[in-house]
Amino acid sequence: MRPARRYELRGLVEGRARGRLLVLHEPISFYGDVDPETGRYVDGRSVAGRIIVAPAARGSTVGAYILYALWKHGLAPAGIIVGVVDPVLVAGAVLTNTPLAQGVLEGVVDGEEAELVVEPPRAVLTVHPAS
Amino acid sequence: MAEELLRRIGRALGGSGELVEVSHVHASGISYSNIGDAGLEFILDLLAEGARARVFATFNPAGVVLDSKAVGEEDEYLLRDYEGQWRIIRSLLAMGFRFSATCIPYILRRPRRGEHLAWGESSAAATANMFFAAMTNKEAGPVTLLAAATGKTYLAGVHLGYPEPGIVFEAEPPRGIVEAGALGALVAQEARGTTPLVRLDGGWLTGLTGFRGFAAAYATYGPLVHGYLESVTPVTPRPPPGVPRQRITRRDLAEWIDEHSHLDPCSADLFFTGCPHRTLGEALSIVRFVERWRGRGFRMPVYVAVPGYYVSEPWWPRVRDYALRSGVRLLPGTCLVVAPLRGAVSSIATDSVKAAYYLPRRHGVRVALIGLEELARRCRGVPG
Repeated sequence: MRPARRYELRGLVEGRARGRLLVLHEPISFYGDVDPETGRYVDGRSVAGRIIVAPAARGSTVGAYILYALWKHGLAPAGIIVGVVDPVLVAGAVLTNTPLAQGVLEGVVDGEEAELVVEPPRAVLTVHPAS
Repeated sequence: MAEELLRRIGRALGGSGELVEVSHVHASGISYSNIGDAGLEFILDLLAEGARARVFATFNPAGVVLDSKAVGEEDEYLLRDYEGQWRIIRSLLAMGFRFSATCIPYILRRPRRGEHLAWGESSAAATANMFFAAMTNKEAGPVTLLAAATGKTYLAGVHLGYPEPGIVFEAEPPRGIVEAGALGALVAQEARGTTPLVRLDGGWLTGLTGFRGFAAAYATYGPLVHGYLESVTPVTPRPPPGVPRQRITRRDLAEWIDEHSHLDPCSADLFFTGCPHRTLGEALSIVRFVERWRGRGFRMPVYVAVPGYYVSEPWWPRVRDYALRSGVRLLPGTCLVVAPLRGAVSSIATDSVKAAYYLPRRHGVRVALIGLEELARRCRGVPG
């Protein structure tokens, strides 16, 4: 079995998350990309309980409301890691107590089990490869 | 509770966690067609927790026309979600917001120089900073509601002072609202996130009307809501030595406009203006202009978005009906960008660079960028 990998990130919104990674290759806009009723991303995968990894966040001020709706419906992601932050995402993460970190992750694979610990200004992601 | 959330947001954005008192909050993200039940729930939860506006507070346009008599039967889409939208507005009013439903809050309260604001509408924030020399970031929708409940926002970004210009544009002054918008978009695209200073040969010619078009386009095409427009921005510094300089000519503006028009304007279903909103005076001169040109064979329907609070003014019904008689629909409290347009309209001619950006993306509409006067001249005699 391969050893766990550790990534040092910039911590933005504190908290701990454990879940499978949901790796996206496009910047995420919760408004438009995620259905607040079902928790599904545009490609049909569910964001509920996952640690989202995306290159950036973008888009309208409404995104924070979508994250809030997911949280109220029990469909919120467990954590979020983005390469480029946007104030709307930060507001949404704070409102819903979703751990948020900034960093670019090389070599992570969709579906790997991971644990995210955010203690601003630091954060650590530990990835346990699928055996 | 709300203060603690603001502190945490400020810290996550690189601030110290301190807050700053603001004198006017403007809430964005209140269109039901945009935020749906998610946003409504957030607002209802805040209201249930006892949140009340502590400072002067206004809110952005809604997703429906706030007077059903302002539009015709063919405009049924502008009344979709009427109930949900009014629940949002009633909740905001119960929180102590001023009945506003407009993206030009500075006509309700003129910002003072150096004053701190928490405004969520990007075009309004750019106008507050660059035209009135007030200080505001572009706030996320829920943050504006927290700011209203506390009278404060997080101390970060523009609240700490305007950055020095990092690039200078020497521009020929735009003529008219479309060129002003094109200049805003070009400056934002070329500055790539660096604070720009725009110098004009001969000054700004299009007043606050044109400036609104500039600011809306600038904030649409770039991340910033601050910058300097010489002869308009009250506090314009000297650029530091050695910053890059770039020239923008009216020919550049014309080319940009051409590249962003994807339609013969005379074939559009309608002409739209009012992104940002038009004032009463502007709306009336548009109606008078159209009235004159109806007699010369200009038949295209004209839609003008205006502030929502106009519907509670005593003169409103007369102005609305006068406009309708000339084939001009005044749309109080909404605009065609935030309304649920998809499927109802397929092509629009507009003088708004911001609307021309969002209409295709949100509603799949094809657009032509053109001013109303040129449109009327070019398209007279074309059957409506």
